[in-house]
Amino acid sequence: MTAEAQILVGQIKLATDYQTNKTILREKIQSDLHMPHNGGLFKITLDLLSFLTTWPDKTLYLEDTYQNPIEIDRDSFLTAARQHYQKVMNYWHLEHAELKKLRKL
Amino acid sequence: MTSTPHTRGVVMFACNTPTVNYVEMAIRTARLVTHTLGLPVTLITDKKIKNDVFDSVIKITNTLTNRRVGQYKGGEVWKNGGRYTAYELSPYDETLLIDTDLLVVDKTMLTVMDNTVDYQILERNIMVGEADIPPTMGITSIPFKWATVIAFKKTKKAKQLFDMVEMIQKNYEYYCKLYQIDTFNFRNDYAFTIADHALNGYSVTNTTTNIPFSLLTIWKDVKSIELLNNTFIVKDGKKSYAIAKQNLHVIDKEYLLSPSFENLLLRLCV
Repeated sequence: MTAEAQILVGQIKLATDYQTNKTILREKIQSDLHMPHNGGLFKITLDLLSFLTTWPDKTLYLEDTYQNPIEIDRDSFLTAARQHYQKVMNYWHLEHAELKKLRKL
Repeated sequence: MTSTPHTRGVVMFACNTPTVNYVEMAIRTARLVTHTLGLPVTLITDKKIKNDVFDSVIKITNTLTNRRVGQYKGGEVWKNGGRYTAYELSPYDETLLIDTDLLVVDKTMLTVMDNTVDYQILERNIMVGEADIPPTMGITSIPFKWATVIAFKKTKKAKQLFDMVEMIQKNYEYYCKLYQIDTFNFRNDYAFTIADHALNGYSVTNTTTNIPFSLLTIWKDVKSIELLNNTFIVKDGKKSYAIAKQNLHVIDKEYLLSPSFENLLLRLCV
């Protein structure tokens, strides 16, 4: 094998695995989706956002990540949760777009 | 009446071995921690050192003789005992106890500290590019947690955790049999898991003492880590990984002591 071919083979071996990178990024996003609120820590999910949107009362109690009931002001929590969710998803989208460009390193 | 200010800081243990300069690693990690979290760092070690990066240095006598296999053929000396003294020795009201091979580059740990009632232990550790290692301490044992990151406050329950870890370390053979642990060299991960398990009523479904975030671990030997925009490009000689900038647990001690890592540190600490 020529020197050039050897370099090429080395580079191909170093090629990054898009699927692995995608999985790693998703794990980070799962962590980033957590948001502290009123002394509790919540993972902002679509379920939680939907629930808050439809809940009729202004004040409610929600179980947080640490299995504690936390008093919630529905409107302020929903606003904060939406903003947080949007911020994390935007970040995910941007980073994912970068990953797609990084097929070879 | 005046109240004493509430203190918060990071504690690391580092005892040099014939093969690894853990203290130098701790100095590098402390620079990163101070830069990223803005918290003081205390080093607990068995040698007398002075370095301005540390808020304080506490000298202990490390008597545990342990060995582990890994990077060095035939195993290496591993001075990993005495971590239970962190509760007594930490000068802070709120402590983040971390390994010297943890690169703290984001503020996730501050959120962990904000939400710690008594203590929290890392539960989810993802090995980059590796199949998941068995999540239990033995084939028939319970899932284990990672002593790589422990956040605690000086409360009664946190003290019970560290007291229990002391008891486990001193009677490790017994606990290995009780919990059907595969290996007999002392591991802090296992000791803290057993203590946490007992303190939570022997329940494996109680998640209230788990850090709800995952940590990425680079298990293989590292050839280089570069920072490209907001992404770490990690090369291990066979593969490359693109990892969004986040805290990393790097097992390769040789890399962490290399000039290449020093260059990365300079970039991260700007």
